[in-house]
Amino acid sequence: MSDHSREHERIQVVDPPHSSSDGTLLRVEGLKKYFSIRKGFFSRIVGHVKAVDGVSFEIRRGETLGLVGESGCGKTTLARVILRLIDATEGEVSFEEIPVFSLNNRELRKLRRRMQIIFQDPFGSLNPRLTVGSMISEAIKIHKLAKGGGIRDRVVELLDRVGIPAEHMNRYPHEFSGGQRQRIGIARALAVSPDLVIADEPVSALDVSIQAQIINLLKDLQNDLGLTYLFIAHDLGVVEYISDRVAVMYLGKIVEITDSGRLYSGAMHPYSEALLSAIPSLDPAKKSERIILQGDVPSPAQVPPGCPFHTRCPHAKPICQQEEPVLKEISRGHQVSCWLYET
Amino acid sequence: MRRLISKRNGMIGFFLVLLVLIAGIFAPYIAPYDPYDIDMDVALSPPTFAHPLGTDFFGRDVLSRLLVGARISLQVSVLARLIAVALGALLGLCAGYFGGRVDHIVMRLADVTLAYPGLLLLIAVMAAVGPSLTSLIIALGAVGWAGVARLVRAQVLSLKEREFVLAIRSIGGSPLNIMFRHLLPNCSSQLIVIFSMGLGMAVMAESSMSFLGLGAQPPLPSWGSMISSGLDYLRVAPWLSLAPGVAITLEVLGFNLLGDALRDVLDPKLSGSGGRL
Repeated sequence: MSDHSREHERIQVVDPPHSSSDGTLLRVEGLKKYFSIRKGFFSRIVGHVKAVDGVSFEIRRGETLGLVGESGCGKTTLARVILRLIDATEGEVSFEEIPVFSLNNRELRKLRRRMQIIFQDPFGSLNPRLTVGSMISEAIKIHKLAKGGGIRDRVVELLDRVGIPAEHMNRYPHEFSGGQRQRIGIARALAVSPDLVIADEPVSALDVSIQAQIINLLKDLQNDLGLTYLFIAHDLGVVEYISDRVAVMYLGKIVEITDSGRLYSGAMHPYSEALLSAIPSLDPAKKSERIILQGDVPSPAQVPPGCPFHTRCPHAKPICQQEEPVLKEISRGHQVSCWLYET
Repeated sequence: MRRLISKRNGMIGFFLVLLVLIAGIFAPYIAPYDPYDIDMDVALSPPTFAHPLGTDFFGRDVLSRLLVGARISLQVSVLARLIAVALGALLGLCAGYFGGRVDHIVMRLADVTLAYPGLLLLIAVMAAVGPSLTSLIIALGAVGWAGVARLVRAQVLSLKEREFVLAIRSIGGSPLNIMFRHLLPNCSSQLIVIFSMGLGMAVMAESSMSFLGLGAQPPLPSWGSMISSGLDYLRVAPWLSLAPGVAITLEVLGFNLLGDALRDVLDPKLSGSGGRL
């Protein structure tokens, strides 16, 4: 994988170029995260869980990239590695051409202001011992974005923006419902005026009716503030609504990435097809052929050789068991990694 | 608070502790005599109306000495636990948060401390630095930190993977900010519980050390030294040792019952791991 570990120029975080030439905000290259499995008295490394295994993609400023895949395919790990909440095994992430992994602590803290995360679990993501107001103002104070009374004004503005009455500022998280907590989590992420927001399954823990509200809130915020989203979900319906492009992930790898519309009308990877066929149709007359995948997802500790999907693929060919396909551009902006489309 | 005394044991513990607290705080005002006042005329007097718990060899009023002794007992145990909890919380926090080498060093130190019987270690420390109440307090604190450190470390290990901690990290919070604003406050109920559960043991330790002559020095009326000085007159004046003995028993019982009740209310998960010396 020498092509991934190429030299990067060190660019200062101070006054970064506001937009790079092609409008790319985040570029992920050959990202890998292996968790080692240790056993026995001397904690020997007996294997690796390949949570993220060679992922590359780009997100342009202002767009939303949806990331879908089954539970355990490495979506959350990918999000945390991008934010450097956990260290990557290999690969590079650049944010506006700034190599995130080679920043020192001080530079990293400055960059953190521009990349934020919204978590899945609205009950675990808020400190139970802090009031909503102090939680949000903390972010403002850390980055010295306001002073004195300005902090309070900003908190009020943020709460108002996400639809929480400002007089609830002095309440504790347990006094709010799941949907309200998620809004508070969003307000906290917005407190530092980020450019990129990684939403890690922000609605999967919520009721369906509240899901729609939160999704709409995220869309409004994007329009008003010009945010860029990496939107992680396992629900394709949600992703279709909010995303400009969608990446499908399977066992730590991206198997297909394309425009949202094109994926839903003409998915090419057999795994994407199977996922799409699982979306219930609103039209009872429309009988869609549902593709039921056989077997379980293989353990990420023992990824099958060749194409990781060949064990469950309805179109598997002999070559699929031996050689791993690479992500290739089939048509403009549409990349698939599958032997079916090799010529 | 209401839940605390709604349980019978909690209520008994609460009132026993309250009794000791009142005795300790108001001792100079409610004591019928000066605890240091020697009156050889009434030496070794059995309990009478004038001296409800009798007098000792020098004719000092046992009840008065007992009340003032409550103050010493409380002072030593509370201060010693405060030191132990502060020290243990700080070290446990560092061990849990930083992990790796820091964790190894702190936890092996804790293992070493826990490997010795507490009293033995105390005797050794006191023999080394010389007996006095101040050094007893410090020594008790220095011996008691290990249990607290283990508890806090375990709690921090589970807390630091929680999403609200990840959120602060992604916002760019400094380690100090995360440790003291987000991790420590979420250990507070465990800290209160382990603080109070250890009080009983601290009372016992103070009395034992004073009994051995390694704690409070005469003429300070520590309960432990009162028992020890009464031993010589056990046949003729049993109240000399009996009264402070009963007082120690009640105080320890009170602290333990209260500690148990606090644990049930604040932290149902934490059972069985009582305070250790």
